[in-house]
Amino acid sequence: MNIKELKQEWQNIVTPQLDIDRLKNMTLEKSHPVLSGIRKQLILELLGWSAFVIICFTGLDADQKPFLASVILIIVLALAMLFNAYGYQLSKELIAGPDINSSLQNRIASLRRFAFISVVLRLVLIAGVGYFLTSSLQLDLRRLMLLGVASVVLVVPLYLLIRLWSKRISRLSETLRLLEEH
Amino acid sequence: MSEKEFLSVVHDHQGIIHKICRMYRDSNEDREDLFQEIVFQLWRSYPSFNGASKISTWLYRIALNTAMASFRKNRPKVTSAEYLPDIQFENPNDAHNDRQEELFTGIRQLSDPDRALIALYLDELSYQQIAAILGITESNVGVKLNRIKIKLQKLIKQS
Repeated sequence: MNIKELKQEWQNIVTPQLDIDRLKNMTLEKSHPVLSGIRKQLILELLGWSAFVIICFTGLDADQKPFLASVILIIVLALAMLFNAYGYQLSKELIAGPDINSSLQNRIASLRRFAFISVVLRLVLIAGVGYFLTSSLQLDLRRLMLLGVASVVLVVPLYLLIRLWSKRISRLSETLRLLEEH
Repeated sequence: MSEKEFLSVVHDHQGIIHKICRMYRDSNEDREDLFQEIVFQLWRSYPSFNGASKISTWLYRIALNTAMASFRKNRPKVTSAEYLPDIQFENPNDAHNDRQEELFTGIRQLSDPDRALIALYLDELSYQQIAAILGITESNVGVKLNRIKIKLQKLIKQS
């Protein structure tokens, strides 16, 4: 096919016609396939951590925990939840500039920032929860080893998180590079 | 402008969105998700549309930006027999279907930015409009298009 034929072919493509009601439904956040998945995940996480906090503060040794450990636990969990809400907001904002080039640049910058803070906060969360759980314990060798194993187990999802973000950001960076190259 | 006007605009121009979905996603399920994401992003961006450009130019910018910036899901490939889509992206009764599929297969082998360029070119947008949508210079549009046209013709010949 020569270019003229390609143009003709392109312009003659018959596309489906969705009705207005169907299109209207697509503008709603509640019917968005990706956002509803993220929302479910965030609610589950919130419920999980709430249950954890209730168990921690009503458990057998709750009165033995130092006040500082409880405060740290609440702060790190609140930060994690607030950051989740920020992440949800960010996943809605795909358009970040007046043209595709600047939009991709801004999107990559905000994703890099988000990925960095996300990893740092995850480490802070692990440290905060770890400190709370061990704050009233006498650490002997066995417990230290258990703590070491738990840390390694918790680092695996962190590694997967870093890998996921690296992959997403490098794909977008490659798209931007190809767009800008002559 | 009201929601009613917005929906009417999207309804009248939905062919652009369907073509972009077919260019950027391989499976019908992914195309449906992308179609919904594009309509959602158009609705979010609509209040900032000031009428400085044509509505179709604005629609192209948001739709292409969404297609390039949204993350593709890693899902196992399903055959069309296993998955019956809500939206029929390809018309099985269309006599030109094979040639159209050749065209889309060729386009899908191009990089993401090149797909955007060729779509805008095939829809007869000027170099100035293409440059404004993509945020690159008009001369760069010209250089890239010359290369992409040759590459696309080769890809279609091979398929």
